[in-house]
Order: sequence, then C-alpha cells, then structure tokens
Amino acid sequence: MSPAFENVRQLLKQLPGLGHRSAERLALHLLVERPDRLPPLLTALGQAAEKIHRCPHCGHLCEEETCLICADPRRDARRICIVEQVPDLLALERSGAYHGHYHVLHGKLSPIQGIGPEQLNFAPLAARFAAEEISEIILALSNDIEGEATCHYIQDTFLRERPNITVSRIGFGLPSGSGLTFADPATLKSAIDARRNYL
Amino acid sequence: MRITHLRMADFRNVSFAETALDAPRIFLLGANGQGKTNLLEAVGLLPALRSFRTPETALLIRHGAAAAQMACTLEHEREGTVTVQVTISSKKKSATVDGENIRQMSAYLGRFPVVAFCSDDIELLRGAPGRRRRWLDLAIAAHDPEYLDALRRYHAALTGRNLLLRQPEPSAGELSAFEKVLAPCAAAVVRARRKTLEELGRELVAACEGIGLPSAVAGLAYEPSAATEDAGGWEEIYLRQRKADTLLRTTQRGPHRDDFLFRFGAHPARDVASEGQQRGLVLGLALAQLVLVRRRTGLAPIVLADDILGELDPARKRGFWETLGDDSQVLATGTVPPESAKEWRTLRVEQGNYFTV
Ligand SMILES: [Zn+2]
Repeated sequence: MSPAFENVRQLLKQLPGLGHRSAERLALHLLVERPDRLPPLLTALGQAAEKIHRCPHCGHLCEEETCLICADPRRDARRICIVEQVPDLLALERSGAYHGHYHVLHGKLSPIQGIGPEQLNFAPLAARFAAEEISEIILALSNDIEGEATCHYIQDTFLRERPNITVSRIGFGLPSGSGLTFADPATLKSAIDARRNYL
Repeated sequence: MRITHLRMADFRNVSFAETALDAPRIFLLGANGQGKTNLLEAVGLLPALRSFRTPETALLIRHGAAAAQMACTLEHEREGTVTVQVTISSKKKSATVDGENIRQMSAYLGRFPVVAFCSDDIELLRGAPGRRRRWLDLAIAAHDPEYLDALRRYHAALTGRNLLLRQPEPSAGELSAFEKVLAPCAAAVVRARRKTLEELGRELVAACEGIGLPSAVAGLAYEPSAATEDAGGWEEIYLRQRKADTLLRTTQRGPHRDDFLFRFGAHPARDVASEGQQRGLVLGLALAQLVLVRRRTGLAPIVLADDILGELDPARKRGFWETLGDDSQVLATGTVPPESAKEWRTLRVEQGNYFTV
C-alpha cells in the first residue's frame, strides 16, 4: 500500500491495546472511510497535549500546576496510595473508599520489558518522602510477580528508614495476576478496607 | 473414580476418536504406533491438564489444529456422574466440569486423580535431573494447588532475576526486589518436595516388599540445591550468590536445580542395581505414588499401565494387583492380549480407531 499509510499504521500499532488489525482499521477509518472525523480529533489531541501533563507531585494527569486530587484541601495528604497507572487511580476513585492522596508509578519493575526504577515515577516519590509528612503508605500494585517485586523495591528504598510510616498492601482477594482496573467498585472497596500490614 | 466414555479431538495425530470405556479393566490391544498410548495420555490430562509424556504442549495438538481436546464422562465417588472437558491450545490450557469453566486451578486440582505406569519410567532413574523434577512436580501439584502456585511464582520470579543478571550492571535494588519474591516460593517448594519424598520413600519400601525386592535397601534421597526451608535463609543464599551469579549471568542455586536419587543400599541405584532391580524400583515408586494420591485425595485414582503388564515377573505382578486393590479402574495397553483375558474388556486399536472386541 502507500508508504504514508504504512507509516501511520506502524505508529498506531505501537499504542497500547492496538494490534496489527485494529491499527489498520483505525488508520483506514480516519484516512479513507470517515476523513471528516480526522480534523476535530487532531485539534482535540493538539489542545489536550498543550494543556495536560503529569502532575509533578503524584504523576496523575492534570491541567494546572498540580492535579485536582493534590489540590483538594479536604483530602488527607498524609496518606499516599501508590498505583501502577492512571486507570487504577480512577478505579479506586470510583469505588469511593479512599480519600487520601495518590502516587502513580506509570508502570512496574519488569526486566522482560526493560523497565527498571529509572523508567518509573520514583524521583517525585523520593521528593515527597523528603518534604511531606506521611503517616501511611498503601501499596495498590497488581497481584503478580512484578507488582510484588515493585512493592519490595519501594519498601527497601523508601520505607526501611521510616518506621513511623504504616505500610499496607491491597490486592489480596483480587483475581491473581490482574490489575485494579478491571475490578468492580465493591471488590475494590473491600480490598481497601481489608488492606494488610506489609512486612 | 471410573471413566465411562472418552472423546478426543485434534489430539496428537488423532483428528477425532470416541470410545466407551465402561469396565473396571480395559485393555487396549494393538501394534505399536496405532494410538494406544494417545488414549492413555488423554486420560492422563485429567488431574492437572499436563501430559505425563511430555512438557511440550505443542506436541499434543494435531498439526494444523488450533487446540487439542479431550472430553470424558466419569463415575465419581463424590461428584456422581460428571463430564470433564480439557482444552489445550498453544496459549493456554483450560477445563470445564459439567460445562462450567474452571477459573482457578485451586478449584480443580485433586478432584480427578490418575496415576500412570509407563514402560519408559526407567528413565526416571537413569535420566537427567530435569526429568525427575518434572515427575515430582506433577506428582505434588496434581493435588496441591498451593504447590503449583508457589512453583509458578518461583519460575516467574526466577525469570525476572535471570534477566536482571544479564544486564550490563544489574542493580542491587532490583535484584533484591525479585529475590524477596523468590525466597518464600523457594522455601515452600523445598518443604513440599522434602515432605513428599519422605512419604514416597516410606511407601517405596513397603511397595518393594510387595514386589519381591529387598526392601531394606531401597530408598529415595532428596538432593536439594540447598535444604533451606525458610524464606529468610533463601534471601541470604540469593544475596550471597549474587557475585557468582552475575559472572555466570544466571541463578545457580535454587529448587530449579534440585534432584532426587533412588538408593539401593548405601549407593545410588543407577550405579549398583541391576536392570531388573532398577525396573523394580521404578515400579515401586509408581505404586508408592498410587498410595500417596489415594491418601491425599481420598479417592481411588484411575491407573494407566502403558505397556508394562507384559514384562512384569510373577512377584511384581502380584505386588501390582495387591497395591491396586479393587477400587481403581485400570486402563492398560499391550501388543499381545493379557493372560487372563476374561477379566478385561479388550479394545482393538487400529490407526487411531477403537473397536470393541
Ligand atoms: Zn497530583
């Protein structure tokens, strides 16, 4: 086919959740079938890219200096719930069971995918431990080997010297190997309520 | 437990086969290469969705097919008449019981026990350690979901640690994170293997008496890479090994390097026992496994005897049938009819088809 089309398909294929087939379908849809949909999408993406960035504190998406959660004075800033990705945070928000702050790692330690600590959102987390008064850390990482290794890493790196911080972990009771995103609100609420002291 | 009906689809070289198996003793009669062992192998998938012949899932799927399938009807001591279907694709293995999907292996393992006796079991004694580990793992995991879980997690975390060791400069923090996941799994695996081998060893002695081997000299010896059974101990081992492991870029110690030995007197049986004695020991181990499975599940396992009955001498044959008792169904194969043919329902096997004689 056309080299320009091939280029678009390749770029789309690299996005999460898109395989070869769906990348092709999307590209065909936007370029040939319904080209009228492309300009508004490009405009919206451009505008969003200008406005939206990572919250410098917690890694959540935000439009201002900090995200709405970090800026909300009613939330308990001494509690931080560490999650892998933004959808996990959103799922916990929907459950309504948690009113503290978050920290989004944007991934987990994964040697097979070449993701080490440098690729994760740890630098701002270190800054928060140095600057903020934290009383509780809730580890809400997925219940698989990589999620567990990441919990150990956080414990070793940030929490060993801070015995006054309560550390707990949720994820027990969630389907093994799955993340938080696909759990329903009731399950998440009970997972939060039943969080266990870690180590 | 008794199997009454079996269907196979796209299993090994069989595109489709169906047969009734409704008798306590079934004898599959046919020349080699006609598909006798395939049927046993299909039944052998029942306990843990794993083949007793090979760890290579791809070998089970007929060339060009997406998945191999086995469906059978069982008369079960606890569950009554029950239908189990097993599907093996290159990506995943799954089972349904009475049409209901099994989501967690913990809800499945231990319900449908089967014990296999094979003519090439002798390789268990003579072959490489990997073969013994695989046999032992399957023997334990077939009715112990916690063991299977620990083993899976162990291997996943081991892959992580080995990948880190292959990086130019592995970070201590990351290695430590994966070692902390490894350690409790390693401890649990070693504990379960030691306990099971002790129990099997005791039953092996009893079985040897039954089959006319000098029972005083028979035994099993666990040879763990490290005998540590607590997580803290394993964390120390992995930490201590880091330097050497970094040089060789792989994890050198751990349950993935375990082995066990058949002893004959003070020595390894493979060095001092005759071929006949070695065959006796291996038969003894399978009998020991039968006793163990019966004890751990409280059920009478289906017994698969692949080409072994013909070669048993009278003492071993007696021991075999005594240990078996009456409650286990036996599916046997052979190239010549069994001696006491009227005790058996015989099925003739020709090119993957099964005919009642
Ligand atoms: Zn924020």
